Amino acid sequence: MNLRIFITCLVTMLLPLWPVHSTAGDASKAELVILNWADYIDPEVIADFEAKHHAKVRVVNFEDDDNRNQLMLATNGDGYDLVLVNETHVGLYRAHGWLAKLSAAEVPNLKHLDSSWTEKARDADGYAVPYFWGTLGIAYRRDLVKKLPEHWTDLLDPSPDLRGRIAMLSAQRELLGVALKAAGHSANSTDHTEIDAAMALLLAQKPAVRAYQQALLNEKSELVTGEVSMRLMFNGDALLLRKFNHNIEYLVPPEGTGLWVDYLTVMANAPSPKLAYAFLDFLNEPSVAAKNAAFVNYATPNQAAARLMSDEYRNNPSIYPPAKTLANSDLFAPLPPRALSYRNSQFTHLLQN
Amino acid sequence: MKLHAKIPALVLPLVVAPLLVLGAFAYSKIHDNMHERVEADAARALRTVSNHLRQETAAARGNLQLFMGNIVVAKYATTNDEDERYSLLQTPLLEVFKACQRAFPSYFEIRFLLPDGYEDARQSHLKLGNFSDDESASPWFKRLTSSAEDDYATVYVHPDTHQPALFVGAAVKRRDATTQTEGDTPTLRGYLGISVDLSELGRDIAEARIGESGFMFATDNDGRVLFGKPGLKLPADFIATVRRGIEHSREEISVQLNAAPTGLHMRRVNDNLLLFAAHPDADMNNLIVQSALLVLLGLLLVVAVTGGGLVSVLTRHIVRPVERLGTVASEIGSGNWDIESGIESNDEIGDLARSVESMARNLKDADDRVRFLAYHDNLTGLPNRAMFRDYLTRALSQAERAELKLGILFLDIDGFKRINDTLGHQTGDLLLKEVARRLTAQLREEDMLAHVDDSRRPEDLLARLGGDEFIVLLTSIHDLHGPGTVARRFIRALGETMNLNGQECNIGASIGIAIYPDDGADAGELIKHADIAMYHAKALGKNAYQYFQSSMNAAVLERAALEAKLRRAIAEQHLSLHYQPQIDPLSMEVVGVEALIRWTDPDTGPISPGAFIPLAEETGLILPIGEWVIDEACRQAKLWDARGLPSVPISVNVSGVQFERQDVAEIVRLAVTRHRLPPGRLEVEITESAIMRHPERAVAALTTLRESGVGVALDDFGTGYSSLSYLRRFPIDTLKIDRSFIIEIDTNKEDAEIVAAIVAMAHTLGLRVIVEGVETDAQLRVIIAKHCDIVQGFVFSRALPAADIPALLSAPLRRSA
Repeated sequence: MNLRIFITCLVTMLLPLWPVHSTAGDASKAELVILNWADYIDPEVIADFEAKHHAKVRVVNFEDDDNRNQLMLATNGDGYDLVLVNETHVGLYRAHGWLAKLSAAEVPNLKHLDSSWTEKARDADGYAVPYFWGTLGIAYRRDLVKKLPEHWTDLLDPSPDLRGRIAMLSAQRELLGVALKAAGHSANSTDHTEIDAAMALLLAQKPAVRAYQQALLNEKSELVTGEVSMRLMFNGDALLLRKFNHNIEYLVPPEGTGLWVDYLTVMANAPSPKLAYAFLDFLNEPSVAAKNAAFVNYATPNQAAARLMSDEYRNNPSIYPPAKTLANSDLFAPLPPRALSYRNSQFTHLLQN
Repeated sequence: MKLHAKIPALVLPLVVAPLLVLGAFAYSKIHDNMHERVEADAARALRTVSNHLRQETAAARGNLQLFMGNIVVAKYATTNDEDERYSLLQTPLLEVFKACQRAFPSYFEIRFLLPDGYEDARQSHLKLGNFSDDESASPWFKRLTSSAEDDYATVYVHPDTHQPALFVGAAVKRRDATTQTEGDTPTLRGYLGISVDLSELGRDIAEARIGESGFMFATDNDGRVLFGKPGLKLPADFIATVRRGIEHSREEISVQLNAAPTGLHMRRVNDNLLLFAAHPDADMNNLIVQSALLVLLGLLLVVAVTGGGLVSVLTRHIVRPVERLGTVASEIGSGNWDIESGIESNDEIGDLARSVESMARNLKDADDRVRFLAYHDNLTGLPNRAMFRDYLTRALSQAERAELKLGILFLDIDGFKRINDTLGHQTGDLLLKEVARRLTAQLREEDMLAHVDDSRRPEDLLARLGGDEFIVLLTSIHDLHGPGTVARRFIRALGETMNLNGQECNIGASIGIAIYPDDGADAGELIKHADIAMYHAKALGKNAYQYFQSSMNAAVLERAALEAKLRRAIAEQHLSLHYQPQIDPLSMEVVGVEALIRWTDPDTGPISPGAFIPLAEETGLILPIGEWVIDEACRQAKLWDARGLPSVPISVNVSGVQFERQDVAEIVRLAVTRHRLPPGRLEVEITESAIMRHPERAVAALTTLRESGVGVALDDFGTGYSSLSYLRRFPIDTLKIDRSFIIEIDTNKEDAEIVAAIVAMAHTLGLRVIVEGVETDAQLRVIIAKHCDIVQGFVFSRALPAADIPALLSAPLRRSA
């Protein structure tokens, strides 16, 4: 009976919403729970912190923004010490009362940060610490595509040989953002016509898309194995994967892209706020930040750390896009509720069967 | 009407009538059942579909309740922060909706609506964009918001898909956890709505069959067809008709659908869906016709079996026995007395059969008596003519097989009449008995002599044919002379003097013999030929026998035919008398008329007396003829007298046979007395030969006649004995000279001399002389010269009908020449 299936689905769906906070583990050690993207922090950094603070760090990964929002909603923000939030959600989280106020006293290393990145997000000041910023672009296998991509249309309207060999991300903000850019609009458009046009592009692309999901960032990643020839990817992820396959290239099309900034926030109800502050401080030590940036391959807002980076890092256009591209790009921004509702409701068509 | 027809005609209605009633009852039952079945079909279909829809509705309601309990939904509904709602909660909400859609693919649209009707969140299968995100004006939304209940279900045409969909909506009412406490009334936060795709249900409805060709459809309140088979057109007044039907709370509403009268069953499933089960009347009619045929067929079968059975039983027990009895009765009727009916049942028919058999036995006894009487002669106890014929017929067929010769002896007693007349009938009967006795004895002796060995040979048989005629069948003919020998012995045996009651008398016999197969093949022919031969024998003289010869046959046949005709002529009065005047040649006066018999047969015309008188004499018919002639002549004479005509004598001819067999004098006396005619007006003419047959009898009779005053003329004088000596002995007044002397009298001197001599002699004896056959004046002159007294002939007049005579009598005659 349908009803039973539905209940099963509902329960299964709600299971991960149970508090992630667990008492399991070494009781003697303090535990720090971080909600973060996968592979978005250097494990060595974690290990160094654990060693230094005699603590246990547990990193919980989320799939995309919506997934993270659901996790937060499920516990009302409880159970996590540090949560990675992007520029569009910082204000919301803060409004929800989920974020703890930060002070320079508790996190002295915040002084290394470029304050302009803090200002890019609404209500971020005093509640969110910029972590990295980056671009969305086309990652592809040089050796597997007949024609090297130049524009968004090469991804959104792929040549027939790429059919089924394309992968995309899954969040509305990113997909509609790049589709809007491809159509020559702002990534933050609230215009229904523009949104509809962008949706049309995405729907037209759908038959060629193998999967709408976050890429694995290891040697099993489909782009590494060649199962996928081209995909939408964050720049750092693409660079990370190049370690496994040098044929992987990253491109931000000249028509521009969506820019993002990730922030680390301390939860208002963080079980270990001290440790969380300590971690933030540790992470923003220039040497640690540099090491972490070298691992994730994203542009760091930590100016001291940036100075420590190699030339190769600092001159990498994948990390620091050309000025012209940046000028054409839009930083993802919070959208008016009803516009967002519209985008949400339209976007549901893409990912349903 | 035969029983064969009658019994089915009686039985079949008895069988058919109750069966018809039964059939009619069964038909009405089946008819009702059909109605009930169709109604049950319709009710079931309506129930199935509406249950389906109700389950769908209930499931949707259940899902809505589940949504209510979902934390995301709850948060989404309660939050007042649009940022939170759309940035944080909407996508998870849609995920919840999406999960539900995966479980219920028919939920093509799940929505969260704000209290004002704004479509706040929508998870839809539709590829199309949402054309309508403000539902505040939609009828269903108005109903939802105005509904007293927290949830509401309806069917409506979805504005995006244009397809009918089930909409189930529920109000979401929640307290705001931050501002409201447990006691506060929950605030309306919005509505959750599920739109259910009903295409499957639509298919079910479109494909549903009621009875043979009934169908289903569904409409909204305005009569718009939401579901149903393609091409279904509802009349404009459909909803009005249905409403009227509902108002009159009819179970079945009659409408015209696709131009066919159709019965409708309706069920309201929710506030905007009317479900109909339609069954065309034609459908029902077909079913009824089919069932009627079925009933009729069954009926016919039962009628055939029952009726056939009954008819066959009745036929075996009644019709066949009755028919058999009919056959038996008709067999009995045709003389088969010994027939058995073979019916032995103990019922009335058996009784009837036994009665019929007993009747047959009684009839047989009676028949035996009758047969004996029929086949035997009362007087002599001998077989009679009928038995002889039968016996002869059987003997002939035996003889034919055995190639035997048979002899038939036809015996006629000579002089029997005389004995009968003179000695009386009793003596006659004694004589016949004696004859029978003697012939039987002879035959027995003959039998003993002839044969003892031949078993194939039938017995000889003696029979009395009637009167004085006997007939004998001889079955043992060794040679052709055998029958003649037997005939001779018969004649001899009968020739011996008989003593009858003390009176002695002598008789003779004439016998004719016919031999099978020489003289005939069948009984009738053989008897006839023997009879013919007997006549020939008799003509030869008495006490003689004759074998039949084929030359006898033609004459006898002719004579027999003539005889038959003559008998008819007598019976039918084809005979008449003409009268020829007798003229005194000197005075030329009519002095008498001779009555001459005339026979005019209606078929063949006049027949000459010369041709039939001898036959009449042979057969005895002359007796009635003679009597009639005498009587008629007297009557005529009296008529003429009455007219005052001159009284002249009428002479009539009397045959010798008459004198032989009758008392002519007495007959004449009776006749003149009857007509009060003076006897002297009558003259009797008799031929010489006739007198000579029985001279004594004739003379006696003539004497009596003369004594009574009747004249007597001797006719045809000169042809017979013509012995003048007889003339003296005979009591006569007139002599009529035979015409043979007249024919040549004017040329033949010898004839003239004879006539002259006769006239002279007659005058000497005191007799008148009449000459007849005078035709010419020459003859007349000679006759007058020879002194004949009276002349009769064509020279004066031929014989004339009675009507012409008065003219002759009243006026002097003139010679024709």
